[in-house]
Amino acid sequence: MNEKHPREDAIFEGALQLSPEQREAYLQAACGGDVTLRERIRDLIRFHEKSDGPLETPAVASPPNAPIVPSLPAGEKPGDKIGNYKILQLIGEGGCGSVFMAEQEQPVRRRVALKVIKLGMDTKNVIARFEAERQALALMDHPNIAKVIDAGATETGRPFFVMEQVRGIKITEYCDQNNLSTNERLKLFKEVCQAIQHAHQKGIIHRDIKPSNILVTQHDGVPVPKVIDFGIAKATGQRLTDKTVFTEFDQFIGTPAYMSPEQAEISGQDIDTRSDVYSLGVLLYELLTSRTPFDARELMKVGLDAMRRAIREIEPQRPSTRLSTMQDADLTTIARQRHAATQKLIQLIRGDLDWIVMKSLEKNRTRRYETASSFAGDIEHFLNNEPVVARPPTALYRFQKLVRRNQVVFIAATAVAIAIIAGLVVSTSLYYREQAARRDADREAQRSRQVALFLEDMLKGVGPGVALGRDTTLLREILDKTLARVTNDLKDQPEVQAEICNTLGEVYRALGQSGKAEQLHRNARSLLDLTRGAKHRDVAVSLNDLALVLRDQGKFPEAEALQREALELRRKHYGNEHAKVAESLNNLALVLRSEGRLAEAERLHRDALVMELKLFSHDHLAVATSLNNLALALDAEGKPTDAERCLRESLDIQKKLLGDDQPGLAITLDNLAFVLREEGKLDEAETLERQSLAMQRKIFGPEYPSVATAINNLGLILAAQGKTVEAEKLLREALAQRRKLLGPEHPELAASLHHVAALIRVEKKLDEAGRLEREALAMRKMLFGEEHPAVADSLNNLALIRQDEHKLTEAESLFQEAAAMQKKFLGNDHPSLAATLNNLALVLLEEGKFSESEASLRRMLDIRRKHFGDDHPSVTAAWLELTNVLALERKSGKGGGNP
Amino acid sequence: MNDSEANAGEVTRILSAIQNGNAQAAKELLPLVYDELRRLAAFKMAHEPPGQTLQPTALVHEAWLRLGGHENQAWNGRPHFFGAAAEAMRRILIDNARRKRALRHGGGQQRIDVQEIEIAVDVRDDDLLEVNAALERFAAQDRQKAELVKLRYFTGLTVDEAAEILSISAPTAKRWWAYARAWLHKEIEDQKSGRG
Repeated sequence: MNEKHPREDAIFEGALQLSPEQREAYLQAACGGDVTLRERIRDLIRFHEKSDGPLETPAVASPPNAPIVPSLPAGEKPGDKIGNYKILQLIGEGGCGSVFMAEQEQPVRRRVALKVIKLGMDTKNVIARFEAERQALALMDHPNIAKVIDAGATETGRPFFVMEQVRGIKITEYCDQNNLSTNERLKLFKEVCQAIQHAHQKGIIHRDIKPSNILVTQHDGVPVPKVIDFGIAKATGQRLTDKTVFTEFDQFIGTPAYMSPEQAEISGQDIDTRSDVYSLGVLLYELLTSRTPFDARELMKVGLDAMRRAIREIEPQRPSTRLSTMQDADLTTIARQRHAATQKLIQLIRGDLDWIVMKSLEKNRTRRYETASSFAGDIEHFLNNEPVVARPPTALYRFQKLVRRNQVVFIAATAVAIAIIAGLVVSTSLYYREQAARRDADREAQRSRQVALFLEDMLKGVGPGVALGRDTTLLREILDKTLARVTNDLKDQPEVQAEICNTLGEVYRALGQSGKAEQLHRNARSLLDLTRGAKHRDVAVSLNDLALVLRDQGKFPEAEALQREALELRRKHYGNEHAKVAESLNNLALVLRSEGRLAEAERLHRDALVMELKLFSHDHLAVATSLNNLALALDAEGKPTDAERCLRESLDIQKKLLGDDQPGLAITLDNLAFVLREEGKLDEAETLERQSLAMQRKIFGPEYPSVATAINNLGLILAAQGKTVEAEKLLREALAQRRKLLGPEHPELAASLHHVAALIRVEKKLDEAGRLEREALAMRKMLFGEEHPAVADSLNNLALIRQDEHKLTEAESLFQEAAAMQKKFLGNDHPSLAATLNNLALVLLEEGKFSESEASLRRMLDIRRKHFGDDHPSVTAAWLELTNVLALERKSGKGGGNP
Repeated sequence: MNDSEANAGEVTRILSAIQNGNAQAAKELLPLVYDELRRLAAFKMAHEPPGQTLQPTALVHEAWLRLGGHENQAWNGRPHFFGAAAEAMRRILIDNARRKRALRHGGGQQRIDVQEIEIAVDVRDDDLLEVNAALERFAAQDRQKAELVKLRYFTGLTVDEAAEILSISAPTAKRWWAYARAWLHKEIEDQKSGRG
């Protein structure tokens, strides 16, 4: 009886905020199987609704200023008259008012909508506010707002409104029924914004914007949205007497899906026009996706407090994400209602429209659109292909918009870059002439840094994403000009110069011009050394960037040394556990992997990973990246199963965090396909590689370095499947792209040369194969030095070509050279070494050097058994070969033992 | 008025003790406030024209002022004081009601205390006692909401005022009130109908 159910009060409160029809379903859901509880709450509600009871009046005398509750007449019914209006029928009922269809008799006979404050809501305060509101309402005159024709009071003093009767349907239904395209919807929505803006200018906040309050009618075939139900909300929604609180709740809970966070705030009655902006944002979300940011039913289900928290705290999904995570059937319907293909629709919404919607749905209203008209303005921008305000204002973005409008990309870029540098110079020289105070100097330096950042954004934007795959001559020209100006004109500002050098260095690196990149990063470093001291933390950035370039160039020892220096600096500045330290560990590990010091690389990758898991949650991009990199080290060590596991985990994290079609995701997929190929899981490898390629083409366009990599890798998979014709086509395409994008010397270009050569060797195109492999070998020696695992690969392949050409002596010495190099870099147990030893054994066999061949095979067999176990096919194959060699050896009478 | 001044100093001391975390001090507050209210009421009764009843809300406010509070300034001790005042007022009213009922029911052999004060009560004594009994049961399950009822029912504060005293928002207070009101109403009906 008196036992308090823990949720009793919460459920009771939740129920009160629903209309009586909705309550029962709510109680069923909220009480679950607890019939007693449900019964109790029904009772409580019944008692709540009784207007009499022992607690109605305090035990002590009411204070003289107590609100007087008038005795109430019965409600209106059809046939009654209110003022000059004859009530025809009840057409709607809200928390605080009833809407009737009514007939006006004078001065003209017409149908109108009459909204009257409900019985019991007409306390003195409400009436007073209502009167104040009347003036404002009368002032509203906008084609998209249902006109208020009249307002007055019933005989008992209850206020009413008379509005033009709008014969229309909900805006969302109208759009769907007529299959309006997204742009058509946006145009309608803009009109709604303008109507709301008009109201705001008259000092009226709607507070209940939702589709059912925006009806669309047709005028001469043109759809006209009409906003209805103005004024009531504000007139009665204030903090008034005890009686109105539930009305207030009705108002408030009436449409939770459209409610702004500040409306959801239980204490916050502080609502302004920006709450309407939020609700408009919800409406736009719905017009675009047919879903509200929060599902109304879900909201109701979780109960009042959780609902409030959700509205205040949970970031809704972006509209495009929402669409792309929908079930196919739903998405197809939604797209059809918008005259669009599903992917096209998602593409259209992704980006600008996402940003516009998300800006209007900001939890913090100061970050929303200031006004409904600026909201409309941004829609207009979108429709005109102009930059939208909502988008984070990076220079890159503005630049992209510029590109989209005028196709004269690079000329514009040149102009912008030069203008910026010029601006920088002017402002600084002026400053020096005027000899302003030191404080101003700081501010100026700050400004310059900002300009540098701007430039960084812009140049990165001009970088690979925009420029590659097109003619890069002009881009290079821009960069070169910028570089010249930076070094000449910014002499007096070494810090800014250093920053711009780093930026330019990154762009050059992305363009594959590692020589220039190296030079720039070296410049930046010495500038920073001079100005900030060699131990400044910014120096670590330069060191890191420089080391990355050096690694690209295959200058591993220096890259390693610099990464170690950067790591030390960062440890000193940030402590032993820090995201930047983890980054340095990771980058150092990458160098070590390139150097073939795989165990060390693996250990550092693991250290970085453990640190990141400690610093962040498991689902974090840094973790995903580290897993990806660790996998590459594991794979290089010949542990493809472990590598596969890491890559799949990395994929899961990225998918969870970013959704599909992200560069990182595509690259991890690519890596996974690569590993699967090595494991012999060729079909899955092919599927994933094709996915990755499609994704990358979508993101980067048809020609781009990582697109070339995906094409290359797909070629390798097809080659392993024996589909040599298609494989060759793909490998050559990758080679051509790389020559164009990366040339003239680049590790990946060398790799492509090597792969094509390896494939066409099998097809017996030995001349071309030999030419390409020699080119690869020379390039690798130049990039990596005389000895390097990649050089060994080329030597191995070249040896095979020579073997096919029956130049056995040359082939043997090349294999020997390759094997020695692999032993040196990869250790005695590396699968790559095993492959070379196998080849060596075969050539030795051909030369009749049976015992040497046997020795080579036995070493190979040891390695494979260690790696793959005794039952692996490659081990069996090795046994067979060994048996074969032993047989030949015996036949030739040169001895030999048991296998 | 020397007594009163002594009391004021004492109340201030206790309130600051409560603020400093001395929970025991709260217990000392009630009798002081109770006495103060009774004394104040008696004083008023003696000085007002005959036939007047006292407005309990005004009484509590006045006691507050006399004991060192300020009209518009939220003194940190205010919630404690008003909590104590509500309790004091509840006891005064309940005592009165019980005494009167005892008289009516013929059990009134006791002498009416000379300090008996007629405080304006808008409700029947039986209702008052029923509410009080139900409220005690309600307090056992939800002390905070019961506190709100006490402030509202026994000192005549509005829900908004009570919200301020309890440092909760007005809408929260209104929700609490709705629940408490329904709960108490149901409880009283259940008792009457012998259910429960």
